[in-house]
Amino acid sequence: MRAAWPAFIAAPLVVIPAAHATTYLTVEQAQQVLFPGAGFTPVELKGKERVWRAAGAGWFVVDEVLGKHELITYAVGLDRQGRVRGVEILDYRESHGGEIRDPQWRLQFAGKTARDPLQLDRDIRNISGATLSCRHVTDGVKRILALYEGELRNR
Amino acid sequence: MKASSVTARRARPLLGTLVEISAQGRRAGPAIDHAFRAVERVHHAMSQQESTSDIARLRSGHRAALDPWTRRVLDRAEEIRLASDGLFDCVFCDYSLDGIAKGFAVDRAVECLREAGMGAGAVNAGGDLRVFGDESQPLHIRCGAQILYIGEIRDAAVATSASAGLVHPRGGTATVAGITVMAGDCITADALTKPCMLAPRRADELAGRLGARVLRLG
Repeated sequence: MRAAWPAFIAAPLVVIPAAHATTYLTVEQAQQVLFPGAGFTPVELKGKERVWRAAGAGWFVVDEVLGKHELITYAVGLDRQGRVRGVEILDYRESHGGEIRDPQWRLQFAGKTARDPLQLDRDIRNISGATLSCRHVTDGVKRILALYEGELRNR
Repeated sequence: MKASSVTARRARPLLGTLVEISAQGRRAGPAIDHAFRAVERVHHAMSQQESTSDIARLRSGHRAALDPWTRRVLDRAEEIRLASDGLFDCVFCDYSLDGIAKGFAVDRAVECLREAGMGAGAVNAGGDLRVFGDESQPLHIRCGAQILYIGEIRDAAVATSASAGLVHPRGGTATVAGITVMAGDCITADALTKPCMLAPRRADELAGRLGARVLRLG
């Protein structure tokens, strides 16, 4: 294997304001990843989480978490005993311009699917750099486990 | 690998960060599942937090029941410790494999994608990344509130380190703000960022010993 490097880092670099977005999976795709072949029935709950019953298999929950610079939509699959079967990221939105906490900015992502990619920016793949924390997602999963105990367990 | 030809791209929270895997090829979905299982194995074996991990075993002096992958990481860590004149030292850091486990996980995930016949792909564990395939792919580096486009890379691994909290094994702290290392595999790139940060004037020499290169920004 011969690694190919960039010739050298020469100025001017292309500088991209860090406001990029990635859609990994639609809700339907994530359902099939976490519960292949299952049928899904929406469950009405009071909270902001979107919940489906996966026939004979468990629960599928979609939620979003808000960090300082990022808005992450993720899905959690719970088996019938309420154990985490898997966590998948659906959308990742990053901004350093302060838009993250602006409801109007967040609203533009509502109802988007992978077939309808957001062209916020160019194709920004392969970003090396400061490690992103997944703490908000991990905390979100804990909240969903509490939601299961309180609302789903006895349904 | 052009954006339009990416067959599948997924991300999961693992190793304390978001791990993104993309693959191009037939049956890319199952190949990505397979690659995530390799990352999960590293996560469970080398996690700092889990009391059942190999890190907990190492700290209590039990080496017998280690995952063979943890032994591989420890062996490579020792090679890099010697090549860096002791500047990279996970034993000094109480067996924290944080500075090397993510890179190792990226390499194992890439191996899974290749074994599954994927023609191209990329694995990015929160900034420690590796790309493979015949076509070149863009490389970006996160730099504060900006993302810099660096150039195109092919079959390469890249890791970037910032100095926050980095402590020198012989006292003192890092003197440069950040450094990027490119190597043939991600475990080497990941591990080398630390000695290169701690001894920036020797960075090129240290990286060269392991066939890697240092990129400096700013």
